[in-house]
Amino acid sequence: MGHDPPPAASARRRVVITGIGVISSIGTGVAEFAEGLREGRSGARPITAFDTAGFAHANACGIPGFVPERWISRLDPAELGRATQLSIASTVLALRDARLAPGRLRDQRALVAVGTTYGESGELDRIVARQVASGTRTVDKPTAARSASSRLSADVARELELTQAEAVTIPTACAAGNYAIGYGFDAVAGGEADVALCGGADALLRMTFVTFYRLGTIAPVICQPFDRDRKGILTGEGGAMLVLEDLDAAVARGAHIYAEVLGYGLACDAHHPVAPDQEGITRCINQAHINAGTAPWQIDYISAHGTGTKANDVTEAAAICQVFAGNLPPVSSLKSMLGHAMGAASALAAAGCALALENGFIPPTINHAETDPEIGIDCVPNLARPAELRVVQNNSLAFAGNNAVLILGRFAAGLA
Amino acid sequence: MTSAAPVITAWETYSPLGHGARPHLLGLRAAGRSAQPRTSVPDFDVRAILGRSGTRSMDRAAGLAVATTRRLLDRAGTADAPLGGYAPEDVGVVLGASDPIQSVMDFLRDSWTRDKPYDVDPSHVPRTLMNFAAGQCAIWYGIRGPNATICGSHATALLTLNYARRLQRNGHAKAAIWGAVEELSADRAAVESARLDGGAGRPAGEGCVMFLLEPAASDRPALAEVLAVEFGVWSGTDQIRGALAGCLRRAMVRAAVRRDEVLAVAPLSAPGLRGSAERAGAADEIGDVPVLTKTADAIGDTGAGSAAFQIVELLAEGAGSGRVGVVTTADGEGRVGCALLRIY
Repeated sequence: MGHDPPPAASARRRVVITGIGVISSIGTGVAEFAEGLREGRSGARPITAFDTAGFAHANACGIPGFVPERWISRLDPAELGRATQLSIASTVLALRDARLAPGRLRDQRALVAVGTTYGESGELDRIVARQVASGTRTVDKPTAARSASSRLSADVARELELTQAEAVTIPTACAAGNYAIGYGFDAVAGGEADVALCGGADALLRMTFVTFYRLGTIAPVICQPFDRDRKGILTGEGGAMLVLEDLDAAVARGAHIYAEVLGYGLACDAHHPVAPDQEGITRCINQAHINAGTAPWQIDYISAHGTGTKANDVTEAAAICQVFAGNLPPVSSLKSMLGHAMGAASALAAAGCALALENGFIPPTINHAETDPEIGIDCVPNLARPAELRVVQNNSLAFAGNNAVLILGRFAAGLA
Repeated sequence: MTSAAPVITAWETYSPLGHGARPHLLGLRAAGRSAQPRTSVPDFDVRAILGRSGTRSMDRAAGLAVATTRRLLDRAGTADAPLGGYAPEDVGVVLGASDPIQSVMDFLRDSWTRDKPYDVDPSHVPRTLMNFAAGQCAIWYGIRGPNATICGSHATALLTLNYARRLQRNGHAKAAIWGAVEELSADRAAVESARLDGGAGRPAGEGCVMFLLEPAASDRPALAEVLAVEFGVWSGTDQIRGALAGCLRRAMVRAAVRRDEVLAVAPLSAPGLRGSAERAGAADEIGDVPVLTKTADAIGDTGAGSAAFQIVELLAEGAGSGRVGVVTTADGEGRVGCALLRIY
């Protein structure tokens, strides 16, 4: 990249994205998802996943018509919570996209890393609802069995019979997808895994809606990141898993390469359980660049965390402006289209970044009328923009001050 | 990448056997004398231990994790060098945890029983998230490096160790405070008991262990060198034995450890088939070595924390030996895992 790699990077293998599996409110599979991003499709619709009586407004970005049986064959979908179903289904899609038969991976060293915020808390809600309705403390056994968030990763490995897999759930809230992809990168780059299946999954839950409604951060109809009239988030759901492989192995098997993972950074605010912190975000961005061997001026596009809340957008934009002073690239928020899919959000956005690199466009921030004057960025309003992207940055910030920033680069012979 | 294996240089705990490493080790020595394993950390009142400020909205798991981290920092740090001499940005926190079942269910009960579904306490929101406790450890002690939470049933602590090891190996942190926590609560006990498919389990227990992982070149003497951490997956209980043996074989090869270097194995020892298959798988690969079960005898099922307590038993048993201790696990979801530690 024209920079000396950091010491930590000198011995590592190059890691590329060779498969993408996405199940989202704007499309299932790579083609539909990419088309949705390019068209600026909105996933917002009335909530049907749970009873919304008592709430003044109830829009969210749910996935219409998700049929887990289409993708899950070995395990019984009825024995899996929805987040686990999304996790498995998006992994199956990713492997098909990568043209990797699970049998081929069976005896390879694999890392399965699934990020999530609420995991299977929806099953705990079912238990509580039944307890309250019945006036007992009875716990339904099948529901209890489905309620462990640790299963999001284990069941991917079981469905695919990956006998040598390390199956880990990374519940680092709304930055979890980036954490999982970063972890996959480290495992493959360090030669400790042949393949990493990594990303995030979260289901549209009553609990999530209750939480953000109570915090006063749910937008009534649409999500408008960076807009002066933004009213908050829409909750969402999704599954997004990536296949990461060592570059040489990918080339040797003739795999299609979407993008190269250049590196990532993590940093903790150590400041407040829920409020974002500018210093923590800037430090995280800088860490990501050190790890990736890139510099801010090389970044052609930033996929922002961009939730659409007052607090997030101002703080995040200020951090970006601080790091990128004078070299500010376009910055858009996929959450304007996808809502906030929690632990899946940054994995969906990473998939979006890879598709943007491959297809030469910048996904827009939709629902945009007028940029908040406190936010001095070009948010790519409403329409996707053609652009030859070389290096892009994917931001994610989370409650508990868990920040994770991922750097992806276009892969082309002779580029790197 | 750093090639030399990282080392564990300190650990601390709040366990059902007491507050701190010393009472825990004394309790382990007396294991087997009491008929019933102990389940809860005695006299653990978060507000009494950590003070009234900043603890009002803490759940028990976060309280245990923060209190244990404080003990660890007291052990490894000094007034001049509170984080063991590392800068706050250079230290990671990696905490293994399970779903915060009690906090989530309490929160949801309010939503189902009050006038409005959103009539819930906003100050209880953070603790319904799995990463709350790790974030609290960072906030309380100003630890600003990577902050991660790891979840994987009874393999959690081994997965956490591996995450901490990779953070350090790949230059994200110079040192890592890592460990695992589990809380004992009425709702968790009820949900876990309902998860058991017929067979009796050990009673639910709780506790937290935190370790300090440092580069091999640390000034502090190493308690153990982390030689290898490996995992595998089984689909039916008949595959556990083979899956664990294969996992151990890969670890032994990777770390170039011979059978005769192995001092002892500390298994999860789940009741029933899973536990017997785990022991058989370990024996297949490492032969007839002492099997450490004081932890399983002395304390209840500490879930996400279990492998951390197994490591503690190995460190105590092998201290001064220079030989290799093996931790194994076989959880109920399909994971097997092991870690090889050279114990000093």
